[in-house]
Amino acid sequence: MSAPAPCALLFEAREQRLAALDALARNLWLGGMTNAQGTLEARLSGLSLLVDSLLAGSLPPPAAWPWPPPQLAAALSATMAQLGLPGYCRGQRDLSVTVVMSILFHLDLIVDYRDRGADEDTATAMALDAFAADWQERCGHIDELVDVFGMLPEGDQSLRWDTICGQLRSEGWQEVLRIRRLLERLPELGRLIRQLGRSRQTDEPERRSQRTVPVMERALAQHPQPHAVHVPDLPGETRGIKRSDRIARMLPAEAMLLGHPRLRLVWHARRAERTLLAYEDDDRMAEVRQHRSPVLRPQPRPAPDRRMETGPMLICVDTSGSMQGGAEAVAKATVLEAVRSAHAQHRACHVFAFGGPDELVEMELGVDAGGIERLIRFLGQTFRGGTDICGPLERAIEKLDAAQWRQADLLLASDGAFGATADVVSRLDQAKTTLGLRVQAILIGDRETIGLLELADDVLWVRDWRRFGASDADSPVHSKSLTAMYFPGALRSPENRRSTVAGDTASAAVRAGLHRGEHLPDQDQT
Amino acid sequence: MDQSLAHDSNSTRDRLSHLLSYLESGLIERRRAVRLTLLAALAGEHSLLIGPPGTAKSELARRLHTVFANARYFERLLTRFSVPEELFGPLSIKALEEDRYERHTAGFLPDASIAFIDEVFKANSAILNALLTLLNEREFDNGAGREQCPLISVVGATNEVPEDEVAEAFFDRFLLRVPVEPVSRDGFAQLLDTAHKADWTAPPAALRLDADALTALTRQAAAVTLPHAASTILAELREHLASLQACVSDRRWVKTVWLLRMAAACEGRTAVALWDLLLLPWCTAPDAARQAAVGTWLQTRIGVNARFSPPRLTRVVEAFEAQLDTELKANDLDYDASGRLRFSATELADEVGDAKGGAGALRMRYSRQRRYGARHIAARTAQIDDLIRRIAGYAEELAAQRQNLALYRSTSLWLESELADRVDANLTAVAEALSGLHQRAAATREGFTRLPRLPEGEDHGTAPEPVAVPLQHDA
Repeated sequence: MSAPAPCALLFEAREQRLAALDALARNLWLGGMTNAQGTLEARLSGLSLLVDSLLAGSLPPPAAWPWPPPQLAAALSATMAQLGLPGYCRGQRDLSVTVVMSILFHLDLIVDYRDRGADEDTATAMALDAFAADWQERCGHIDELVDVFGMLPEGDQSLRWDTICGQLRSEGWQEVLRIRRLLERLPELGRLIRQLGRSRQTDEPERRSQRTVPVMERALAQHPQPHAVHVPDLPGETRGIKRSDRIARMLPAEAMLLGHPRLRLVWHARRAERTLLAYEDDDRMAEVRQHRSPVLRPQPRPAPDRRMETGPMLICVDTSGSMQGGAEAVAKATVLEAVRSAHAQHRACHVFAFGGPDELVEMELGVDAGGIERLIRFLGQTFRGGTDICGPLERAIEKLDAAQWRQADLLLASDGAFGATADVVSRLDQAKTTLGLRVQAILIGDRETIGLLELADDVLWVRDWRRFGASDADSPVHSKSLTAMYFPGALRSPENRRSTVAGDTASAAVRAGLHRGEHLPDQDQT
Repeated sequence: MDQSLAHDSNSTRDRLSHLLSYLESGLIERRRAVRLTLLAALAGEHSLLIGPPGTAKSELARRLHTVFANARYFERLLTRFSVPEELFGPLSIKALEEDRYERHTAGFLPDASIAFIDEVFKANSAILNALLTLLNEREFDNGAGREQCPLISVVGATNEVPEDEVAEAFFDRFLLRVPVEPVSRDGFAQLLDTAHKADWTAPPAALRLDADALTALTRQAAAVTLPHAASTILAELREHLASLQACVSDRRWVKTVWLLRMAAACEGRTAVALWDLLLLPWCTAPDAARQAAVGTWLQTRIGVNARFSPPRLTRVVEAFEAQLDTELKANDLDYDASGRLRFSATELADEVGDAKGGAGALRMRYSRQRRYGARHIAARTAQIDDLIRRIAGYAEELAAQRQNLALYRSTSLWLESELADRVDANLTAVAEALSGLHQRAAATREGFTRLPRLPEGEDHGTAPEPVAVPLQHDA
């Protein structure tokens, strides 16, 4: 049986009184059932009411609360209104439940305060004060978190308030706040990060692609369908008795009527009325019918792809020593912006912080207690070490194999002082052609290098990076195409590659005494 | 008047019970089929016995007519080649000679009170229409006039139910569908022992039900009320069946309720009881598998399908147990830097629910069992006392239900005893579960009263010296 089992009539009325329990968040069960204040039913329905109204962003008048008792309710309501808690809780189920859980906790302590010598009023005041103090601090933290991440951290299981509060008191958090300020001066960073990834189509056409895509068209298809057709009165099988006027198939009993002088009239009457009892014959014939039904048929048509955006992000951040100062701050801001964007749009974000060889640190950054901690640690550290781009690139390409990251784009944030081996470049190129991977670079330095140009499809040059560091100076470089301008042959562009040969080929050619344009015969074959 | 009615109905019940024992004697494992066909007959409905050949289906039907005084019995086996004459009687030739088209119905189906039609789905179209009218209206078109038939009930028998549309309409005419199985392994030895059926004696004439008795029974059934609880369950069952695409026609529901009323009237009750609803599977589901499913649904709905402890009540008991456990493990030194007790939302939810300690115990270098004052303990025990009263309320309701069932069983003609035994066993198990909850609650209460106490008149916020305990590294 697919339908759910019905609830039992036995005890139905009594169980119904505790119905509020089912609607209540699981975290509130224990405190809600064993609390020292009030009676069970009133408390359960009171808790439900509180959670729901906090979620809706407003508090009902204290007189309407089934629980706690009016005096406590009035005081609680005033405290919560003063802190602006309903506003914080609007639309935040986990936070609303946490607030109510906190109410349960503090009110349950009233009896204990009294046991330790306080009189009733003092004990109540102590509980209310403790509640207010708890949330005074947390509201401050919520404000900070919202400021930095754009919204509250998610997930009630991962929302470890104590842990987060501890982290927000750390020095590293101050660095996070500083970098958050810095982001306001780099709006293009946010725009760029929003465009990373390939999970959603935009309306703009993609500049790079022009390929044939199948367009689905409506068409009619014919399906053959075998049918068994029932043909009455065709002698095949005698199935029973029926009434008819067929003399050939009538029962012998009807024929008997014909012999009687009067009954033969009955026979004639019954024949005229087609009510002679006759054997019922029929046969079944098989036939095939064509059944037409609409189908969708793919039709190839050339169409430019739509530009894709907002997918998972793979971010390689250069944490080498050359980045120290302003570049470091911009790189950190890139990571923070990526985390903010990932959190707000529910995108996956994986960061490779790379220095020299064996200095690769990978982080999954999300806005929960663990993620915030990792972020604080990352943003708080100083960059040093060498630059090895190959390690992180290889790891990033490996990651693309997993379905979760297939639609990811790669972001490189670096001063560009690196070069990748030809092997890694070709693997990256392959990923670009087969998977459609796009590589965006953020150049936080003065010069574009071959290494960076080879890797990136598009470069955002943050020229005024020095301003974000300790000193505040403009970049002395006027064009990002400096290399191309002064050392045109140095770039590993396709043209340059075609017109140059490898060292050993060249020395072989010299030994063979060849001139420009002539090739070794065995090289032609390859 | 009431007195006489009660006396009268009592005698009806005894009479029926007596009659049933006659009907059942010598038949093995046919108790349900016998009772259901009799109940259908009393309610003026038709029943269909579905089962393989040789399962005493016809014997059942033959015995049934002996319940009624002056009941004429008619029996026919249908084949595809059966002609209307076999069921409805031959044409009267004499009438034909006088230009009337009439049948001699005497001794045939239109003249019978109880009829047994074997292989009833073999009826061909020449017969079917007349048969449908007869079953439905209890009238037979004979020549120029319509003949009123004395038909009380038709017992149909079939090996299997065909799946075409006409058969569906015909199938729907039988209110009760009773699957009949060959006797079980246990019954087999008894079956071989059975004396020859010729030994069976019909009930004596004085015991049989005459027209007056039937009229009285009908009047009584009409006065039987359908309580709200029962009609609610009927409505729910209707929706449940609709959700399974197994719709039951409105006509069938009306007839079903009449059958329930008749079942109550036979036992001298003035209202349909909840237990009567256990008859519903035979009226609402077409085959054994779906009848079993409806039976399970009904028993689950009434709350007698299995041993269970009321889930929400159990949660409350568990909550107090968890709370006691927490308070026993609570660490008195688990304060944070500002002197407030630690409060962690997650640990509240995951582990202990109340952070009067517990949560950070493993991280602490020092530990001392938390102590509690009189007011704390009084607050907890008061809540548990409320819980214990609550459990007592449940137990009362259950006891009332069990008593109700026992009372019902003592007069019931129709409830199967195996089913009743099972229901009773389940209710007993529920009672055990409740008393288990009560014991747990009482033990928890006891546990709260034994919590470590604050010294009297001491400790105004000053903590005693901590006790060093080895740091645990397993967390």
